[in-house]
Amino acid sequence: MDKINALLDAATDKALNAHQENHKENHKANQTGKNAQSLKHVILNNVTQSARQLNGQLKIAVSAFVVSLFALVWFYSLGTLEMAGVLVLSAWCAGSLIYTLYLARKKYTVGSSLLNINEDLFEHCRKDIRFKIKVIKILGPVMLIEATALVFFVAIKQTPVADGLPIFMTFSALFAGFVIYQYAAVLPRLTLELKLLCGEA
Amino acid sequence: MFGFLNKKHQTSLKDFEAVFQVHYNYVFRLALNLSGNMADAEDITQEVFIAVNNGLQDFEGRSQLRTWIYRITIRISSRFLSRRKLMDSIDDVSESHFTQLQEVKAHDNNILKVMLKLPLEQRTLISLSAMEGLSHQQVADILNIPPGTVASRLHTARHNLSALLGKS
Repeated sequence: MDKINALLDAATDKALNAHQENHKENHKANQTGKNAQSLKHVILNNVTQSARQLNGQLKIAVSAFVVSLFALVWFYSLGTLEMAGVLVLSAWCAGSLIYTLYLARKKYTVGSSLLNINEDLFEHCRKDIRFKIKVIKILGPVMLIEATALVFFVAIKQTPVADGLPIFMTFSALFAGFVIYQYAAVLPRLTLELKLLCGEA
Repeated sequence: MFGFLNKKHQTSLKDFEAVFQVHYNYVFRLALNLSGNMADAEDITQEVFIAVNNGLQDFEGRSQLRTWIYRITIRISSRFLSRRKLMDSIDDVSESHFTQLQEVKAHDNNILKVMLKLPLEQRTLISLSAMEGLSHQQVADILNIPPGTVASRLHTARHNLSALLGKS
């Protein structure tokens, strides 16, 4: 083992031991009378707990999607569904589907995308980030076009507030909030990560 | 070693715990080497094992389990470091930043802190080759690059680190 490896190993061991001792003391102080858990156990508990939580959320989201889709098809086939009902059920369907996809993506993307890669790992990460940046940059103009159309029809053309307009406006506001969040919080982080992976930060 | 993971239906909480027990130390060490900070290493380790737990069902044994877990650690570390940098740039007088600066001054010769001055890719190469003595071939499998490239990049990384250590 050369000098750098030895130095790195020694520094890592020292930091880990100090942190472990510190963690045990803090835990003992917080949990008087109980056995102090090791850091490893705490992390394992947290991991299993969040895995259970995510599974639960995913089941609820899938159930919500299936039930709303079933209700939409059922009422539509009975012919008793009015425009407002169609819009509300469609909103439920779309909302639960988006939430299901979001949770499923959160659950599977990181691990499964790195199972089999056919290029340099760092290049793979850089491509993934560039793609995400591109998608966010496309969302901006889409939101602007939608907002302009809405302002044009409601304010200038004075389109009457029909059954679906409030729901459509709510969706537009939610979409605008999502895009603003992507631009304000996600895009700067992705840009920084790209710089980090390119060795510029 | 982990042949029992080849079938999807066999993945259970018990299997995950076995994986966790075997790989915890290496993941934590790699996270610490890449982040240079214990608190971040804890969070990174937790996120890595959440991803491992979620993806274990899809793991078909075509590559080594360790290779896959290290890749996840590198990916999540880069995400985490960028998040931390962003937070620091927003709130650059925060307590954590202040503590970190003090820490750097107090242990100026600490190799973990000096390593932070290297680009992430070089830090990763040095950490992987130092940990449990991974061969160039094993590091090449993790990063999916030829072993020759690992050797040349590692040489550059070590040269840069030696120069930085000489300065501090």
